[in-house]
Amino acid sequence: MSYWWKCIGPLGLVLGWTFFTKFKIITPLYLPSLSETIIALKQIILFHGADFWATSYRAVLGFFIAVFLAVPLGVIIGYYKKVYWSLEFVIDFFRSLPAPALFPLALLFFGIGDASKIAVAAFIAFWIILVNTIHGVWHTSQIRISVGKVFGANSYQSLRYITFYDALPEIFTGLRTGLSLALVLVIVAEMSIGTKLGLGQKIFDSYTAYRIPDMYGYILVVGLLGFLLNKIIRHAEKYFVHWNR
Amino acid sequence: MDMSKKIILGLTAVVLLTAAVFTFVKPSFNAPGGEPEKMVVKLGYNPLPHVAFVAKEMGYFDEAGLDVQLEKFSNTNLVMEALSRGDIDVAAAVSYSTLLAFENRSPGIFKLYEGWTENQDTGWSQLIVKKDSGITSPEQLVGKKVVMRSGLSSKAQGELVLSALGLDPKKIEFVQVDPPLLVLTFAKPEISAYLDIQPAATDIVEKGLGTTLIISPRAKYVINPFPVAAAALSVRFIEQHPREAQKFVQSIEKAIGYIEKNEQKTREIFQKYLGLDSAVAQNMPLPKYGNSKNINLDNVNRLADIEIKYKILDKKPIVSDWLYRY
Repeated sequence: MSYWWKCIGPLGLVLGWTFFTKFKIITPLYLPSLSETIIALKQIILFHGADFWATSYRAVLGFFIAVFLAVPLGVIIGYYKKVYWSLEFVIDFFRSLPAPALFPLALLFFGIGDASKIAVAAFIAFWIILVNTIHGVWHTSQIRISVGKVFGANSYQSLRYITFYDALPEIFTGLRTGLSLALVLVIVAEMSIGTKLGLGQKIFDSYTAYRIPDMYGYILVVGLLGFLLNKIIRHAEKYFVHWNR
Repeated sequence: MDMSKKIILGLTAVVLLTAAVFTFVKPSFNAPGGEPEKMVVKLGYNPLPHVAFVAKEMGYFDEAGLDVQLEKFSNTNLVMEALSRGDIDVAAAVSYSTLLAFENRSPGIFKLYEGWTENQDTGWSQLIVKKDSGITSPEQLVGKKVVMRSGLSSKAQGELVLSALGLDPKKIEFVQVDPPLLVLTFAKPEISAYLDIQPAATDIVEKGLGTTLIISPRAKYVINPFPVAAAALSVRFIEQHPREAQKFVQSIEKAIGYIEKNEQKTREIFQKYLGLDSAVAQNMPLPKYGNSKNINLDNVNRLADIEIKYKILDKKPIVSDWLYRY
């Protein structure tokens, strides 16, 4: 039964697309027919797999860099309130920066290769994951910490075995958002900074040449990539936070 | 009612009032003396030096009874989409590559009233090398990185230039970036050369980052004269306001005449409207503008053939009906 319900959304999307293009309610300049887009999508899947992998690599690597820096740091900052108060301005300032404003900086510091795109993605994901981790730590059950103390847990053990696990659900919320943002930023960086391979570059090239079915094909691939990454992280969440189902 | 509720209600009222003022109260800029209202013409442009700036600054539009409102877009595709939607009446400084691709997707939307070309000595496009790179001939670019603006057309033109110079384009890496990042990217140590257009070319030279190796490579090795960009009226605007369309184009033609005789003043106008650095505005080569009678459609067709060869266009658009006549 639930599978049927899950089909309604995609089916509605397909029907809506067909309706709008068949009756020319939206000009083909903005929305090509579904059949044209599927043909373009097939070509992309068959001949442009390298773009998919290049974008995936940049987004995932940027995300993992952010995770490895933000989660331990977030746990420490959240656990020691004085550290948080001293860093509050820095955190709020940097997480408010609009990402495209960082492209010239990324170019200056990391050059024109993959490093600049990965760095921008990691930077943006870092602050999201950090803030979620800090909030997760703050929402740790004080009762469990007290019980831990009764049983002789020291600060490290309390942090490692109680606070961290209590914070995990919120950390995963940050990871989901961070991964989506990392993908978005890699796509935008590929459009702006340029690259030989990458879905963002291909979307931009199709757009400037008005190859609109190709552009939609690449956008669908990006959507599928985002969906896939989100599914992976959901499964990871179910595995690591199994008590929170 | 407690204090916080009062504050929230007060803030909500202020926000709603501000929104209402901006939505419903239209400011009136009419002259107090009861001067007749001018016809509003909306002109969208790509940030490149354009004749309309001169026509506006010199008051030619005012004399024609037109209130031309300029709207800047970040790239030529956005300008053409705005024209297609009816958000603007005129599209200025649009590359021919964009016009060709747009015509294929949405035929019969525009008519060209002005265009500019690049001759072999114009210097609108340039091949520039790093100042201390030791590169003195194009052959030394093999294995190096060359920066240019994003887009398939730029890449195809770059490949044609390199091929004409006897080089294998596959042995030279193109780094394509957004126009605002061109100079910054050129400054990176891993980049050896720049192959693109103004005003970034002059900016690089004026900043002492590079020296020009070849002037106007597109005209020398791709098409001579190279069709750079054009300006278009929307067919809808021409049909609805034929007299105003004619007056607009006559103002532009007057401005072209002014540009030919007043280079220094023209540079000052471009600097003002485009916010160019003064050294760039003073030293940048000016485009050679012409009205619709000067547009060479044969060369536009040749550009279309190149773009088909490079699979940028999937079919050849019909350009014979592109020109605006009055």
